[in-house]
Amino acid sequence: MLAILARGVAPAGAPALGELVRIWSEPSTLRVAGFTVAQAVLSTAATLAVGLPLAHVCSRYRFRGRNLVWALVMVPFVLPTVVVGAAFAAVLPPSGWAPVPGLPRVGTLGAILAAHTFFNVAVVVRVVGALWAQLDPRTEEAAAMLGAGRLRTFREVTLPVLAPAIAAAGAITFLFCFTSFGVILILGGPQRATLETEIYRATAERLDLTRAAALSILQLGAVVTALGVGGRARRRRDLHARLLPATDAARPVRTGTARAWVSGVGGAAALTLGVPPAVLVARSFSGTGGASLAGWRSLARTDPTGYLDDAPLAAAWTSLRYAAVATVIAVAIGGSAAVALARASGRLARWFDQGLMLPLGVSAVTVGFGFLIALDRPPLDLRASAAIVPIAQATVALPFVIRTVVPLARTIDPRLREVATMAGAGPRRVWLSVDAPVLRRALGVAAGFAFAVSLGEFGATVFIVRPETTTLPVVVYRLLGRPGPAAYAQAMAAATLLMICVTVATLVWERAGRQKGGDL
Amino acid sequence: MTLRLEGVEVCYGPVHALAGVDLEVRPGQVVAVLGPSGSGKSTLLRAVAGLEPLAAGRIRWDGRDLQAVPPHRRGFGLMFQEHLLFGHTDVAGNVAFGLRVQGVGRDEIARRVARLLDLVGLPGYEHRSVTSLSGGEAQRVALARALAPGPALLMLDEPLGSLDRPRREQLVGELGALLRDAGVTVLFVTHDQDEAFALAERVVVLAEGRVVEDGPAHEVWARPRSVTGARFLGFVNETAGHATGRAPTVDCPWGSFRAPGPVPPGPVRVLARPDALHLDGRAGGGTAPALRAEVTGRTFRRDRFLVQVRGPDGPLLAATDPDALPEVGATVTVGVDPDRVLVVPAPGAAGAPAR
Repeated sequence: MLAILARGVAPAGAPALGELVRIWSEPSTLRVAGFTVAQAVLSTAATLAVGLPLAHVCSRYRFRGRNLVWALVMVPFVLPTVVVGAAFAAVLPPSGWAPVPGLPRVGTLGAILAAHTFFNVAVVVRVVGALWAQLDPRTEEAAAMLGAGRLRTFREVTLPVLAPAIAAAGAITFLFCFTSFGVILILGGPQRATLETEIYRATAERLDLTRAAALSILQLGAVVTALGVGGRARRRRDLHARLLPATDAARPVRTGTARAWVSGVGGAAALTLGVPPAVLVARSFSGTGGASLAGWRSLARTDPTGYLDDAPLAAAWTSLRYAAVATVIAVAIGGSAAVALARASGRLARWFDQGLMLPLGVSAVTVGFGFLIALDRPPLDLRASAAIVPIAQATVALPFVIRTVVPLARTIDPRLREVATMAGAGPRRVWLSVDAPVLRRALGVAAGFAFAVSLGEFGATVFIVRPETTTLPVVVYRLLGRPGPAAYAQAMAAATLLMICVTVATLVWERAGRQKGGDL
Repeated sequence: MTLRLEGVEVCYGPVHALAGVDLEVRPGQVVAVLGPSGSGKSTLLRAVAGLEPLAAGRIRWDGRDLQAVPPHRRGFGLMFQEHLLFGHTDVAGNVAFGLRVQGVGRDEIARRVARLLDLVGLPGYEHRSVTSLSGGEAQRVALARALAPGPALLMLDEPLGSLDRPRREQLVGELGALLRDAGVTVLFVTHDQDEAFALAERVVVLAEGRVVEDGPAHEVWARPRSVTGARFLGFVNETAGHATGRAPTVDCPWGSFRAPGPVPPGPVRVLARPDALHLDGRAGGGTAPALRAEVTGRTFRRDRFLVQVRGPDGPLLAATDPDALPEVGATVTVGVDPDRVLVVPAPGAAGAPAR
């Protein structure tokens, strides 16, 4: 981060704030910044509109398949952005499978909003749903007994309590959309530039590092502001609401209206969340003359035209190895930080907490860019080293690890430690019997999350990846940019392969976590 | 404006929480529903409120079936056991909620909130945060909130359940006066006998989802009609017997005596509270049966010492004077007061109450 600041302020070794201000005040910069904010605000609104009903259904009712919905809603969130982009490109017109008229075309704002909503619905469902699932439903019944109808009860009783969680989910969604990269690159086309894609283009295409740094600083400022707002909202969450264990608050579906609501929202969610991946899979089997395995077969071959440096399957193997290393790094650093954070309290801990959130909001592209310019000279020149990729991925995964472990570690009742001590256990024994079991589970959940995030990481990786060690998401992006039906099928097959890896990792981690995955 | 329940059933999955409840509450009555936990008391209130769908039966208000009327249109008030005050607003906001729903003007709301807080003994509490309230204060705020919209029927779920004993005894008196002053029809549930008999003019005992006792409070207390009701109301000594003759004579392991009321001939259950059994001296009263028995233990319940003795077919609990507490192992004479014994047809026998 500091390297970016330095590069921006002193492009030629001398302070040049004027240069920064000049870039910031260019009309094109303002236009890009304006579009970035606008699409993020609209995406957040759309995500909340879709996510809140689903959060209600998932948290308020007990029905068959609820745990499955709860787990599946997470899949789009961990899907690599390139896969989401590819999937929506496969569904939406002009080239996509689009049986429904009125869908937005690729290259329009509508397409970006749809993909962002798909991607971030999990944030709203998880963050808001986790609180909602614990609200005592009898508080709403108390309002009904005072004569308030459903709408009024929601507006005046439920909403005020949920507001902090909604604000927190909205802030996170806003950040993700604000710094979204793969989706905009694939679905937005060249006309729809955001700060994120502009940083990438400035660096990778125009080699204008000063401009990239200036834009990064602008983005960083916006992100820090949004994080501050979100953090404040999250702190307000220790509100005076009656909270119950989630299992007690959910009610079975017993009335006709409830049945219609649950099946309607559930069905719509299954459709919107299920169709893009399904079409992606279907497209991977398309060939010149109908169904074909050509796309899948080509995964194992080295590209004869030399467009790719390596066979996609080899890239997949590389991805898995990188992700494994990144997971170890992220869990080791994030886990110890989280344990320390969970025990600490007060202002400093809160600041530190927020500081570790920063990479979550700071775009992956900025992280990649930062790595590129920070580690490019002795004592640490990692650019030529393969290690740089997993380290960057670990940086991106780190906040997810922390946000997963801290809440779980905080659930350890300190009285349990006292009980163990009174039962004659020494400090080591206390830690082993009280803290370790909880932490083992928390770290397992975090590792699964980190693995999925690292596996699909695109924004940072695309900056620093070496040709001979390409990862699968980068391959998908490159293939998508290539003309011809064969390349298209190959891209879809590669995206499907990536989706399968990530989904398996996610479902395994969901099983391990059993709904207790902390904030996200 | 009579509330009438006809064969009301509520199911949670395979479990019948209410298994056919018939009940009538007339205007202005204060009715207590008494029962052990798990007897379906809270479910009964929730069913009347419209918060639980009925599996069978009907609930009528003023003759009209309430089936299609949603909870917020029934015009009933329900005070939950946990109070469930709205945490995001202050005391005044809570009390005013129902009034705002009714569209009452701001000045009028402020006036009425002040009056209600006066009524429950919390004047000037308008702007207190609900988290700063003690259990008793929260309970009063919840009551004021439930009273505010002027419900035609006020239901209270364990109104004093969350308070400690001394506080409860103080509030029982206040609550009784308050409910009478408010002049509303009240249906409340409790597991606490003191609370039920102190507040209600009529007591209904619920067991396993059925009404087993229903009548004026003093009659239900003195002469329960069912074995289940009697057991719950403190008739802890119990034995099997047989009634014969017109003015029936009861033969049981405790002895032979004339039944205190009419009982059809046949098998009966004989039940007695500890204070219907006396130790030693007072057993000599003419026809009263008496037993020689060994003291096996001493205990304290409610407000008196009890002696446990080895009876002819199981342990018996007898009341005693604390100054004359016999030693464990001593042999004593236990006299049974036939006027205070309860004789009911054995369940399943001819003439037994349906349930």
